[in-house]
Amino acid sequence: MSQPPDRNDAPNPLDPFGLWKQSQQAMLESWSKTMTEAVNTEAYAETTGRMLDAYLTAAAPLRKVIDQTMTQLLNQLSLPSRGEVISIAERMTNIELRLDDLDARLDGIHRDMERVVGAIAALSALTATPTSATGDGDAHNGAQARKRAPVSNRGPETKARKTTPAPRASTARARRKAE
Amino acid sequence: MAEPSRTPSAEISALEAQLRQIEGATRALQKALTTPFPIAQSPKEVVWTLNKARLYHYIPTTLPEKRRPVPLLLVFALMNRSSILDLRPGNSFVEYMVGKGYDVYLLDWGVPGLEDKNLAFDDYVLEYLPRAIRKLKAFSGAERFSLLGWCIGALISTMYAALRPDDGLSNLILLTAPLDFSNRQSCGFIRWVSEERFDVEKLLAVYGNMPGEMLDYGAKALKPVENYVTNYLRLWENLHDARVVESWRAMNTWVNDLVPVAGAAYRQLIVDLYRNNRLMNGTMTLRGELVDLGRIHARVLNLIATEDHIVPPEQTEGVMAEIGGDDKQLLKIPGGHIGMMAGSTAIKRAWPEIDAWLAPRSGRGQPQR
Repeated sequence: MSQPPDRNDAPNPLDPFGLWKQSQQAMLESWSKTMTEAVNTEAYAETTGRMLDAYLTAAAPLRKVIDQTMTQLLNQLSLPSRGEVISIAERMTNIELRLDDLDARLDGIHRDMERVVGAIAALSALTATPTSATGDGDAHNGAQARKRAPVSNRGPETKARKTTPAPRASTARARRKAE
Repeated sequence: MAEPSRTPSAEISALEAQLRQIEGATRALQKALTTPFPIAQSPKEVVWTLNKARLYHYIPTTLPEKRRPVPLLLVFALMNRSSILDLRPGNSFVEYMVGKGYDVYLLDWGVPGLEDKNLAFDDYVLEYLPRAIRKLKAFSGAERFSLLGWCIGALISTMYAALRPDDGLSNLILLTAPLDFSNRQSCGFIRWVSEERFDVEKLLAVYGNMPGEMLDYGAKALKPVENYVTNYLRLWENLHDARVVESWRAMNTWVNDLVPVAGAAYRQLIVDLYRNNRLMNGTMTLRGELVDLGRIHARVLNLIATEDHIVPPEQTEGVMAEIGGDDKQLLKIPGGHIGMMAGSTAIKRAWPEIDAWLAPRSGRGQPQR
C-alpha cells in the first residue's frame, strides 16, 4: 500500500531541511528493513501465535456464556435468537438458488423463442422471395406472401413479449440489436 | 548591544501564524483520515444477485462498432472490497477497460455474515461463479468470455478454469495469484499459519468467519513501518497537494473497508493450500471433483508483482508448468500487491499490458477454445 521512495530526489547539501529529510528517509528505510526482517522470523511467528491462542482461549468460554444468556433472554421475550435468524437466512439463500435456476430457464426459453422467431422469419422470407420474383403470373401468390410476411415477422415475437415479462437479458440483447 | 532583528510583538505574530498553520494542517489531516472518499463511481447496473454476491455490468462508453464482443468478467478476492478495481476517475481499471471497448462485468462477493460461515471454495467455484457466468452469457448474448481474477479471486478463477474448461472461457488473466505454497520460507504468512502456531479451528469456533480486522492486521504487519508510519508521514508531508491527498484518501477508504472471509473458505485456504499445497500437489478436490490444472486450456496471462510481500512471485510462477494449453504467458510487473493494479505503475504498465494481451484475443472471429 505504501509507495517506494523516489530515488531521483537529489538532496541539496546547502539545504539543512533537505539533509534532515534525507537522514529521516535513511532512518525510516533502515527501520523498515529491520522490522520486515523481524516479522519474518520464527520467533515473531511463535510469539504472535501464542498471543492469539491465549486470547482465543479466554474469549471462547466468554462468548459461549454470552450466546447462551442472549438466547435465553430472547426466548423469554419471544424474539428470535441469532441462530434462528441465521437459519432463516440460510433457507432464503436456498430459495434464491432455486429462483436463480428458474430465471436461467426463462432466459433459455427466451433465447429459444428468439431462435424460433428468427427461423420463421427466414422461412417466410424464403417462401416470399420466389413468388415475388416470378413476375405477373404469380401476382396473386406474391400479394399473399406480402400480406403474410409482416404478420409472421411480427406475430410470435409480439405475442412473446406480451405474454412473458421480458427478463433483463432479452432487453439488453434487443438494445444491442437496435444499436 | 545589538538590536534584536524583530520586536517581541512581531515574534509573537510569527509564532501565532505558525501555530495557525499547524492547526490548519492538523485539521486537514484529521479530515483526510476520517472522511471517506467516494470510490467505485463508474456507472453500472446490477444484473444478477445471489445471497450477498452481486454481478455488475458497467455501462459502455464506446460506440457499438468499437466494442469487443468477448465480455470480460472481473473476480476480486474474498478479502477487502472489489472497489479497488474502480478506485476513482482517472485511476480506475474498470474505467480504463470500458474505455478500451471491453464489455466489463464485475463479480462482487459482498460481505459474508454468520449465516455464510459454511461457504467454502466449493460453493464459490462451483455454485456462485458458474451461476454468475451463466447470467453474464444470457445478458450479453456471448458464448465466450474472459476471466480476470485478482489474488484469491485468481485462485477461484484458476480452480474454475480447471473444473469447467468447456464452459466458454477463452482467456484467463491471473493477477498475483496465490497458488503454489511449496516454498515454506517465501513469506511471513506461511510461518504465521503453520499448524503448530495457529489453531484455525479455535479461531473459527469463536468468530465463525475470519474477521476482516485480523486479516487487515496480518497484511499490514508484514510491512509494519510502511503501513503504520511511512504511509501517514507521506500524507503529512503532502497535505498541501490536493492530488496526493485525494489519492491517499481514496486508497485509505478502500483499505479500511474490511470484510470477513467465510469460515469454511478460510479453513480451506489455510489447511488445504497454505499448509498442504493441495492445488500444486494435484490433490485439491471441490465437491468431490479433482482440480487438475492440466485441464485448463484457456489462454492464460499470469501477472506477477515483483515486490509483492503478500503473494510473493514464487507462489505464482510454478503454476505455469502445470497449466495445460499452449498460449500462456508469465509477465512480471514492478510494484507491490496493490500498487500493481492501482496507482501510477498500474496506469503505465499493468493495464496497458493486460489490454495489449487481451485485445487481439477478444475480437470477432477468434478461434474457439
